[in-house]
Amino acid sequence: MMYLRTQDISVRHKNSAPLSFPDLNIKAGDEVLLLGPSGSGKTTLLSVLAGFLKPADGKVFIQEKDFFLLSPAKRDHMRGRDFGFVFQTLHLLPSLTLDQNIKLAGDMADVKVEENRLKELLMTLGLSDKAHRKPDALSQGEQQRAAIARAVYLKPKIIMADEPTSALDDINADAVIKLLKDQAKATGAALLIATHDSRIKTSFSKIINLDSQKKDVA
Amino acid sequence: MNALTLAIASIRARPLYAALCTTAVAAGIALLCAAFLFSQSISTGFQRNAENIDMVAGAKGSPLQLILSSVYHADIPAGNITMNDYENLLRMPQIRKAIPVAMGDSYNGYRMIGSTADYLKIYEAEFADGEIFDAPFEAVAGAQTGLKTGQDIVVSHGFSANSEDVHDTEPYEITGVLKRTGTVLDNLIVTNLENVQQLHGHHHHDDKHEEEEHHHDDEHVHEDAHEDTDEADLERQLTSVLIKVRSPVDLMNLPRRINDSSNIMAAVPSYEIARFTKSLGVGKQLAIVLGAGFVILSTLMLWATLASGLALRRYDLAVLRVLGARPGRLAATVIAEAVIISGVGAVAGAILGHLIAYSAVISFENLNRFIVPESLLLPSTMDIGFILLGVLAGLFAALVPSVTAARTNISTLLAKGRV
Repeated sequence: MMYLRTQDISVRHKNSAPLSFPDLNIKAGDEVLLLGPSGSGKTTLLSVLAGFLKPADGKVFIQEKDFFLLSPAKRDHMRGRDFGFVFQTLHLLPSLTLDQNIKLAGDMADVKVEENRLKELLMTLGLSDKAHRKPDALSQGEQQRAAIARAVYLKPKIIMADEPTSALDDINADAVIKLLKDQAKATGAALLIATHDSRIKTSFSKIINLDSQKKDVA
Repeated sequence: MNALTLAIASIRARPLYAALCTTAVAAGIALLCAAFLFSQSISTGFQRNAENIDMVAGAKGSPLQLILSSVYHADIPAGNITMNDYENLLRMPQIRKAIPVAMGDSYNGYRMIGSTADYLKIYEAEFADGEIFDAPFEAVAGAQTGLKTGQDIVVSHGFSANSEDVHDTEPYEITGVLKRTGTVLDNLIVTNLENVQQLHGHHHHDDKHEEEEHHHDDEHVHEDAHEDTDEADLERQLTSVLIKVRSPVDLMNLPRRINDSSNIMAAVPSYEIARFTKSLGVGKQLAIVLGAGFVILSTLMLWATLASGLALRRYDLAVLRVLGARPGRLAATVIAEAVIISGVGAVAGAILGHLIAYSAVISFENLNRFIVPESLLLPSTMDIGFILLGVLAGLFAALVPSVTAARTNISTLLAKGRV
């Protein structure tokens, strides 16, 4: 059974032509690369998959259930519990410490997590001694790892990453992709990375090129 | 982590704004609280001290001055009446009790009251130590005078604490000290009527001039005037008579009858005080308007603070949505922030209000005689109302910002990221 499946999605932005997207079929353990230049609609597609943006046409199925037929509250809860997000700009809350930022994922999704999960994650990501620091006191790499830790804290079914490497150099970019893959494997999650960064396409089995598949826009 | 901890984190991220808003809420609530407490304590003070005094009779003049001087000891008496007037009052059937009062002297600013043992009963006084005056030049001291049984005191003329116009006669001996009553009695010294009458009979031709004389710090002016005075008559003078009537109905007609039929005046404390406090009400209204203005201002400040905080935190809120928080939860963090700020401000304001009212009462010498200042430091039921008012202001301030927070639009924010 596919975990996430889309069908003829198209989104209509104000004052512009509708944007159509290729169908996605993602099952547990898949590693999918969504490749396309900026403006090709990667973030728009992620917004639809996350349940924030209702497509003008087409459907999103999560475990074969129509995602947009769920109540907003159920959709919010499912997103919090089963989806993990990593963004280019990391979106750590500056007023909270690193461990509070990670725990936030459980609190906002109303999911109880055993204490060990946090310790284990911090250890794997080499953040144990930084747990009580505010994001401002962390290096770029540490913030990156903290953001990933927050995304995988609840052992999500799918990890969606939006441009996770575009601000990084080659070595760090590779490290982040490896980390995402490792974490996805460790939790049995599917991984969906949206990027325009061609450096990383080689390491993926499934690549969807948004630009080439985009239907003609008049 | 819930709305509360997120709210606290948000406050700690911008402590200065929070402090400013808290201060503004506190200022408004403090003003309101102080105004209400102050006026309430004045009216209960007025009421409690006149509880057993239905009517006061004295020399014709200002009824308010008669009440303020004879009942509250917050003014100087305007003149005297004679013992004959007093005896006439005693013959009226409507009057259950008439207690004569003569005054004009003081010790360290504590008024010496010449009266009878009944005077102590007005205030339901009990002895902490010693017993009632019996022989001439014995006196009983109120609880707050600091006097002790057995102490000898030399009274001076007039009511001022630093008077140098000392009577060169016999000193009074304190035979007893009263327990605290929370009334004017606590700051009085009470002796036999005759003692005061005698002292003044020897020294003065007319108590009407006593204050004027008192202000002449030079030689004893009254020594000269003394000669053309009928001493015997002066010794039979009173300052006022405190009256208890048989039935409340008598209060309707009796004062007018006395005013019309004799050369003395009768005044009813409750009437006069009601009129007096009405004129004080202007000050109270001013404080209320000011306080309400502050509360409104603080609401707007808090609103602006919350709104600008949201602008700064919109990415944070978007992250919370991404992590699964429902819109209501985002609204709740904003509301919690507002309630914390306004709640702390309101509690601080209520405490401050008590302190302001307290210091206002102790700084007016005439007020702290008939109001128990310490009672203003105790929590009152009004405080709950003021704290609720402050919190309500906070909730109002959070109204629009919380809706804004709930509507956090994520899809556009995610694309832009933090700048």
